[in-house]
Amino acid sequence: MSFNFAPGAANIIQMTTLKLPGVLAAWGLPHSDAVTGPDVQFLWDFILGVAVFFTVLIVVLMVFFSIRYHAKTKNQVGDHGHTHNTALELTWSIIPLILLMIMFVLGFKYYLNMDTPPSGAYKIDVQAKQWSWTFVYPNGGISDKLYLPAGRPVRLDMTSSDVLHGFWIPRLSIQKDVVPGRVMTVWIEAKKSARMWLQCAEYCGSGHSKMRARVIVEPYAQFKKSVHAIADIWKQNGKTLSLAAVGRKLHITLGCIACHNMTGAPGGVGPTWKNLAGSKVHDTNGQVVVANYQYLKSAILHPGHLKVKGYPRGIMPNTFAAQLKKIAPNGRALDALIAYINSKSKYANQQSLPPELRKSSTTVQPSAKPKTAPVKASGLPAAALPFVSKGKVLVQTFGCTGCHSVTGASGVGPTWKDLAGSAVTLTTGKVVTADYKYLREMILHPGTLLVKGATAGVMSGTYGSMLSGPKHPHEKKLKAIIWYLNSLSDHANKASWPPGVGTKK
Amino acid sequence: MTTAEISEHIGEHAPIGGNYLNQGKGIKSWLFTLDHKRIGLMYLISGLTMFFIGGMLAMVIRTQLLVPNGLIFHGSYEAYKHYNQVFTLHGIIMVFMVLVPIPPGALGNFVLPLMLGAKDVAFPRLNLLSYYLYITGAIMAVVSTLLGAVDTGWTFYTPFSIQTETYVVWMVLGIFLLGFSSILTGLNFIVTIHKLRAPGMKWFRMPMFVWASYATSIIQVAATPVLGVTLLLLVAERVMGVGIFNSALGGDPVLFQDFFWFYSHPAVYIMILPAMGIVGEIITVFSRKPIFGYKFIVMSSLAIALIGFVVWGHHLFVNGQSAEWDAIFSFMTFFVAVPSAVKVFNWLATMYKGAISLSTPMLYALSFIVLFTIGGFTGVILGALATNVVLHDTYFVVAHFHYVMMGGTIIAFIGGLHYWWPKMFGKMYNETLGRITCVMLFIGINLTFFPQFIVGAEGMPRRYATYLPQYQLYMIASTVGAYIQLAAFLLMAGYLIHSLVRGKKAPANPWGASTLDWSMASPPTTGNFQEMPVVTQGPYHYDDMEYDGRLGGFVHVDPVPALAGAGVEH
Amino acid sequence: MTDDIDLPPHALNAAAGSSRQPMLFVPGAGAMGVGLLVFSLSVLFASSLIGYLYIRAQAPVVAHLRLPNLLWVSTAVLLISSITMHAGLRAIQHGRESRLTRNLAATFGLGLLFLILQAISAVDIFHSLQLSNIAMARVGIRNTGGLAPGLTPVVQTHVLIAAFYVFTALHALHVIGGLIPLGVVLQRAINGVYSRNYYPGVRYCSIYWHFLDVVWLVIFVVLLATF
Ligand code: HEM
Ligand SMILES: [Cu+2]
Repeated sequence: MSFNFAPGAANIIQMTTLKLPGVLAAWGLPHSDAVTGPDVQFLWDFILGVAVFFTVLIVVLMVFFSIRYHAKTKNQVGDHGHTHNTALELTWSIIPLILLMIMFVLGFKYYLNMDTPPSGAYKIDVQAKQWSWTFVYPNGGISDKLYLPAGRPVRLDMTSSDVLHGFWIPRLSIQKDVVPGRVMTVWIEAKKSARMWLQCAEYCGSGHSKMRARVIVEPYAQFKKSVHAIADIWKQNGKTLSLAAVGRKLHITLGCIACHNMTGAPGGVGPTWKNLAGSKVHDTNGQVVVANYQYLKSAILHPGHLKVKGYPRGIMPNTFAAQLKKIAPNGRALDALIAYINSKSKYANQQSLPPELRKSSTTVQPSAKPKTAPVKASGLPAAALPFVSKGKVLVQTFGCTGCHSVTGASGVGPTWKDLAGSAVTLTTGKVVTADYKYLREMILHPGTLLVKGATAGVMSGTYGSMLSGPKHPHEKKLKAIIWYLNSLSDHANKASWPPGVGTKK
Repeated sequence: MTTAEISEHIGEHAPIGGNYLNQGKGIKSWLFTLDHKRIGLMYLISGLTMFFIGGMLAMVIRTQLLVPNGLIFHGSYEAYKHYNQVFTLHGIIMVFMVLVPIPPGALGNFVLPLMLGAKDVAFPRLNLLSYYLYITGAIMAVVSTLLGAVDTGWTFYTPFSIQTETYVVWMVLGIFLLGFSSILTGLNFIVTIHKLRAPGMKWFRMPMFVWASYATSIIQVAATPVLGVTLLLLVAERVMGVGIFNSALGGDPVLFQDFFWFYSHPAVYIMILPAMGIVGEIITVFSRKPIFGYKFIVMSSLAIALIGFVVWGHHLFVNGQSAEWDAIFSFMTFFVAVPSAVKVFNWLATMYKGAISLSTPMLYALSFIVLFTIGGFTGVILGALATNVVLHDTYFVVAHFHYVMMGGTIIAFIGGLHYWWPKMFGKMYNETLGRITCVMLFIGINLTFFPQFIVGAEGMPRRYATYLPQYQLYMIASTVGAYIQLAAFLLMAGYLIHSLVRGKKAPANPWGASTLDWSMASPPTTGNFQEMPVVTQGPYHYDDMEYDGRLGGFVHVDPVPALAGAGVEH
Repeated sequence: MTDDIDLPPHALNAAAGSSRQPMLFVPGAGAMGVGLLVFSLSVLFASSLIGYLYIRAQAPVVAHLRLPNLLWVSTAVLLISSITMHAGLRAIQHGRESRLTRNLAATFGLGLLFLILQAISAVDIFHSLQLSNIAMARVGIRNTGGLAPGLTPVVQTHVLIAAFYVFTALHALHVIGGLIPLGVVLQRAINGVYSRNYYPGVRYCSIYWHFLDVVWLVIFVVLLATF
């Protein structure tokens, strides 16, 4: 079957002449290739049969009465004798009731079957996100197409990483919403080979109408071949992938992503991979080691030896060495992962890259030095003073001062005294200047830049949303707070001032 | 407790004589009016304006969908987002600003006290407050749209509605006010029906429409607060990050859906019950025969209102609700379909041996029966679990609810508007054009929405800015239907406006109706009744009136003693 | 809610002959209106509590928080105000007008005091936000939202805090919504509008005020049980 979707007159004519009669003959429901299809079709036929019968009856009676009892004169009145007939009325209450109950029972019976996955079904994971579908097969293969074996039940476990989505394949008589925070399960058994569309049925935002995937039902042998081909991690659509791209696939299939995030968000089970490669890592003894190639390698192969501060030992499974070896005995799978970790780090350098990639130093940027020079104290511009006092009020209402002292005294969070413009050491060991950008980032996304000695996740991440609504109408408040911070610091300088007042270009 | 004192000095009343339209002049006499009829008219005008805006948005939607890649918004996510904003606004306007508030607000306000033999609703000032809450809510919706139009769909499902950068909070607060307005209207009507019936107006002598409004009001008072809470929590979610509806914070998005539908399913009955009431009135009057099975119809209205509270889960069959709950909700959904069926059969039986005239309102009522039957039966298909999971969130659902809301509520509302038009404005409209328009609308609605059943079952999901080309044929048919509807509405606007300016003067009772709302001159005076009406029999009896050709309307003659007890007598 | 029916009888007589007056003096309409309003608002509070309890029942909390002790005081204040409200109603039923005024004034004052106390508690609880963040860090919850994989789900403390804010704010709004008509009724009482035979405003206020009382007690119990 082909997927030629060019719109056009020919298409329309073809549809009219070929499809419409077929559609009408099938009472509108599309032909289903699922084993549950006949049930649904039967129920549909039954209800529609009843519906058509009664609709025709009603229309015929209506037209007949309108003609037969048409008033000849204005003064003609209807028969005032019969205004109710309990037996008749009970009849036309009870007959519909019985018919409706039959429909209900059938509907429920079939639905129970459609809703309960048989045991021993082949299992595929479905990941929905705005606006694409990803299918993960048991052998680790990942694809944007859903391959199904004909004649075998398949169980789909579906998750969403953002909003609601709807998994709908009308020609397999199946629909289920994918609710974030839950694992939604459906099962399918297709009877014979076919190709069809999976479309998102639950509204999910701008790209909703483009969120679809091909569904390919194949004979079991062919299906196995297809899934095997997907699992060839080195290639995609027949093209050889870069090492980092392969690593990206692996970190999903091997499940690294479950504990190590790529976003830098704190609080994961394991340390984030963002900006890890090439950075300085604190171990439990207070020593600092550099996350170079060797370090990453042994961290993956021998997790038991790791002693990263803040992360208990024994959590990370030590099965990855074997798995990686199975995928690529020559160690390239491991290198692929490390290449991927490097691609996510701004500290990546020749020592942290896998040897295979070292010569091409253009692919990865070495870390940039802090650009702002150390600073000296300077007075704030007079125009900023109103902002300072506004900021002062704001930090009290938001409760910032519950954790940050303004006097230099220690607290839950670092003191704000002399913070703005000063040099700050991060957990990563890096030293940065607390300029405007840094302060802003700290407030909006605490945890992305963790100050040494601070615990990830202590500062609430909600200030960002409190301070920046849609299209950032609260930008002013944020600036006021940063002006206030500047007023507390002897190191404040133009780089730590918010832009606008006093900092003319 | 406050309205009385605050607005003590606001309402000045016009002297007796003339009618409610000209008793009291100037804009202030309208803006601060306490007259239920004037408030009803203000609702009518506001509602029709909103209907026009919502309708134009619908035309944008239908035009976009003429070609698979989108005729208006195409090529980028940003463009699709605009499309999403358009259908969201269309849905919000139509549901929250037209379908829910306008049938009670416009027709209910105007007709209810007249039918009961009352001079006004129980709390006229509260009534005005409701109206202004409605206007304020609508204004907030406009503000939100100007700031950054919402793109969540009218259902505001979380977590998307928490994440989107559009101005959800404004819109949601606006709808919150609309909800409040709805509660106060319902409260007002309930007390009015309980306390302001004319002497002799026993419960079972009340017209169908009053009963329908009563059932509607119960839902308004009991269900709308849940919408309020849902919306407030959504605001809290966006502003404070509460986490009740947000899976990222340990909450549950499905809980939001439960809350939302706990209101919004009963809300569909807020929309349909007044429509059923209107249709009941029209059918008996134009069949010139008492309604068949009055008590059954009354009971079915109340049953729909009550059972309607326990079926909301049928919107959540594919959302991971447990199979037991699925079964319960599916069962209740089938159960609630029975009273609807009963009503249809009773209306048909009313026509049997009647003396039927196919005037414009009657044509609308008959259109309603056909369209509602189709809408109801497709609802039954959706209520069955096995078929629901194939059809949920597709154009099939879109077609279902447009058949019941457009083909049901709007058609009945327009039928009611034509029916009470002479009473409201004292003018007749062009009957021929009225009938032509009704037929055009009937054709337009079927052409628009019937193909959507097929395309939905074929595999087209709802809320799609672009679609697979194999659906284009149906989409084109649907769009053509929409343009026919537009033409019909423009024609209607034309002859109705013409009727206001040039229309023939309307008699007190042009249709020969026997309910109290037709017992005074058209239009009524501010005080409605010169003297308190005393009710001695049921609402529908047509053998004690005669057509007077000079007046162009019906006048009462002495009732034939043998038949005095006919109709519904208790 | 009160309307023309609230006008004292003599006012009604004076207005006799106006086109809409006689129909509108409907005994019991006002009370029924207030009753329906109270019913509708009860649904509002009940559903929000159900939503909260549903989430709260899903999993244990990270760390229990202490409710500010001041809440006990404010609860007592509200209870007393309900008593004074009732005393006011009894007073006018026996025709003691000055006693009505005194009791209404007391109720009004206690209502204001209640709002102030609630505001202080709200500020107080804000400080526990920091505590909650530390507690969350300990069990590995990211502030940015979401749970680290592999951990058992828990209800985050800030859900509790947010619930506290939502409930108290919602209730406080209704108290404010009650103080306004109460003020009007107080003013009218001072003007001597009410008598043994005519006191609808007082009655409506008292129904509403007891409702506020009951709602707060339920909220308080729920908070005590779940914090
Ligand atoms: C016999 C009567 C009815 C039955 C059995 C019925 C059943 C249903 C069912 C099961 C659904 C859920 C479909 C889905 O999303 O999977 C649904 C959706 C809907 N129904 Fe009905 N319905 C009936 C009458 C009405 C009426 C009278 C109205 C309005 C006036 C209405 C308005 C709606 C709306 C607006 C939706 C879709 C809401 C959305 O998802 O945006 N229905 N109906
Ligand atoms: Cu529903």
